[in-house]
Amino acid sequence: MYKFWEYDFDFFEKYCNYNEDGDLIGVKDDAPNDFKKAFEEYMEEEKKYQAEAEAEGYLIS
Amino acid sequence: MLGRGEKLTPAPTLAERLVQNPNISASLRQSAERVIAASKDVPVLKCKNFSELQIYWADNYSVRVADSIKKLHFESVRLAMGGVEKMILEFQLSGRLLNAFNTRRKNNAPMCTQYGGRYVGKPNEIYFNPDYFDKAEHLKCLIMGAITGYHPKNSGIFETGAHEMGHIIEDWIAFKHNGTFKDLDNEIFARQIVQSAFAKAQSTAEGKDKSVTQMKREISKYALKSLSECISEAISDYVANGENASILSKEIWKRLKEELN
Repeated sequence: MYKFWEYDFDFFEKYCNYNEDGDLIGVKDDAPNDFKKAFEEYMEEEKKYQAEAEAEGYLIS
Repeated sequence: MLGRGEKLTPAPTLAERLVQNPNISASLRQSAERVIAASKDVPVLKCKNFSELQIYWADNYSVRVADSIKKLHFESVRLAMGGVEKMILEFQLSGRLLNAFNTRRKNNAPMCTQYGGRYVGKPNEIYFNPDYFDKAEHLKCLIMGAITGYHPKNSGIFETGAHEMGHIIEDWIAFKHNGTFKDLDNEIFARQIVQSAFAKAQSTAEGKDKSVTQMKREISKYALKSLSECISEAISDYVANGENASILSKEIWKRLKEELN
């Protein structure tokens, strides 16, 4: 599990941006730096995984 | 080894051994009791070894179990397969939606699923990650996930299998409705399912005045990732908690039932 998801629910409520479907799409500017950094690290890994999944077929976890 | 056509006989399972152990935690006892209850309805949980699993899936669902799985931790694999079978039975699905169980290391998750096979000429497969499924202790992350809220409360290995089958079910619904599969569908059908379930949930006392984001957070953090993950996490939540699942999970489950039964 990525460090980002280990943060308390309060962080997800206060410091995340969501689209109209309720999907998490980013973190707010006023989020604590460590939370922002954890999100960036998660996104970086997620992009790698998505590229791998697309290259090898339709994969989802 | 079990012969073809021979009936499975109950074997002492890890769950049964756990409930006999007075030193385990209350939550572990609760999980073990749930597994025992589920095994009454999910025959694959009575298989005693990998050979039986292979024969069982081949005979009953024409699903191949790759030999590479034999290197994994048997009881954990069987438990996850139980979650998969639970979904097949619950939704009266044809086993042909799933072609095989295999292993795959290239993913930072205990399990993953390849779907859309009818379009890309590949089988629909559910994969076990050997980095997690080689030893039971490597799967503690699933229990921790349920505790930290990354996954639904009380969920574990069994529910992870149900979650993965949920992705294949979503793909199947997209095919049934639009003749396409869920990536090309751009989650259109997943959106319809979640939105209609959300509207129903909002009309209940439990869901009144809650936003879709709030309701998704009540399922799990992972449900926030995408609509597809929201549906699969809702399945996991409902399988683990039944009527004690979150309101959105219950409504998503009902919508899937309406679609498939």
